[in-house]
Amino acid sequence: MADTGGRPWRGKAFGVTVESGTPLAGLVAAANGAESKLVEWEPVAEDVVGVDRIPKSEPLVDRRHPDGQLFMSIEQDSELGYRIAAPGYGAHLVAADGSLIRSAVPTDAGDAWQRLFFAQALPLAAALRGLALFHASAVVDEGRAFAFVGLSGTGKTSIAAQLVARGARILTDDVLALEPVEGKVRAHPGPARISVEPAELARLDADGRKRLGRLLDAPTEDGKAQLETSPAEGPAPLGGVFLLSRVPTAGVSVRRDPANRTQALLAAAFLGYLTLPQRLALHLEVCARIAASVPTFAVQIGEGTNAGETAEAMRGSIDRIEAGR
Amino acid sequence: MAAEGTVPGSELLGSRLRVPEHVVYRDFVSETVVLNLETGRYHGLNPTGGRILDAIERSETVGDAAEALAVQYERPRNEVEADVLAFCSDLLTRGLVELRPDG
Repeated sequence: MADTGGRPWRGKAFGVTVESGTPLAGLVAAANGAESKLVEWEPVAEDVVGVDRIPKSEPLVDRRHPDGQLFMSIEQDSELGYRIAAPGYGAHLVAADGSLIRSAVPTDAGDAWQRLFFAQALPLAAALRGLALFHASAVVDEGRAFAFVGLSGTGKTSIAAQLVARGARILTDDVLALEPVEGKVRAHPGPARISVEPAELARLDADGRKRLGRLLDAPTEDGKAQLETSPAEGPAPLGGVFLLSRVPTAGVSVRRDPANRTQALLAAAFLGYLTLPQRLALHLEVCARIAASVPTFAVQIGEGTNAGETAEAMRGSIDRIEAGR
Repeated sequence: MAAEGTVPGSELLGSRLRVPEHVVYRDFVSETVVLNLETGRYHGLNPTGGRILDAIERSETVGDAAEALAVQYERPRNEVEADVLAFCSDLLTRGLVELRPDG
């Protein structure tokens, strides 16, 4: 890691500015004087975020592998905050107000710890700092953000990758930070990382792959190719939301203003375990603003339809929004 | 128990209801979503329910809300009262409105 000459280094993602003693790979450097909400990051020894730091209680999250081995746990203490840990990926202690993340980084796991940091710890800090988080990927095109909401496996990232290959700019992969601003909804860039199914990556031509980013050495634990991307420089107004679902029929259909859009938006909250009143109220507020001012589409993706075909079908809707129709 | 010939729950007509601090609601295109911040549970109201909730919030009493809605939608007052009372009773049961301390 590069030396910052004694000044704190600042990077940004999910609408917050991360301040640390050394540059953090995976974050885009923030300009000096950035007014975004601050989150301090501090690497610490394992005992600082060890299992005995949070008094024993029912964990908020307890995810396990099929064989019963722990995959990830999240525990909460009203004073210490939240402890996020995953064997092999380190542990993070996120302050109750999101202003500080202390991370115990495993010395023998390369950059694997960053995946837990970007997938859980930093989004949690952002939520605690007042951002509304959605389980979505997003791109920016012609100055507007377009979000893709759906269950895991519906193709959120693959569709975003296809649109980037066609000229859009990646905004975020998997977690989208939104905030209400002056009656509209603002979408913030995520970290400079994207994880793509190798088969979807192979479908892109050389120019498309180049636009998407640089392939990193280590694939993710679920076999996805990990790329270093260059997300949009700053936040963009949310221009459209696409609600993705898989259907057993053939082909792809794109339909505006589906009847279930309210429920789908409410259900797309990321970090469902976080039931703080202010967070729930913010999520409802953002969903209401989307319903009132952002075109929303149901995209039904049939069997055998690949992400390129889906992106092509959605392109017309994006073009109409950009043309003001 | 309502007296014979009166609308069930009609004793509520003179009551003053309010939406508690731990309940927020927002209008969507075709429904109103009410969120109980204490339970984290969302409740969907159809457009009619949303209009009744608005009227309750704006009116002094439940009876006043029913009268305002009857005038606005040109419907017989007793019909509207029955709908409003049933609706308020349901909201009270769900904890989405409460009696004002002075009501």
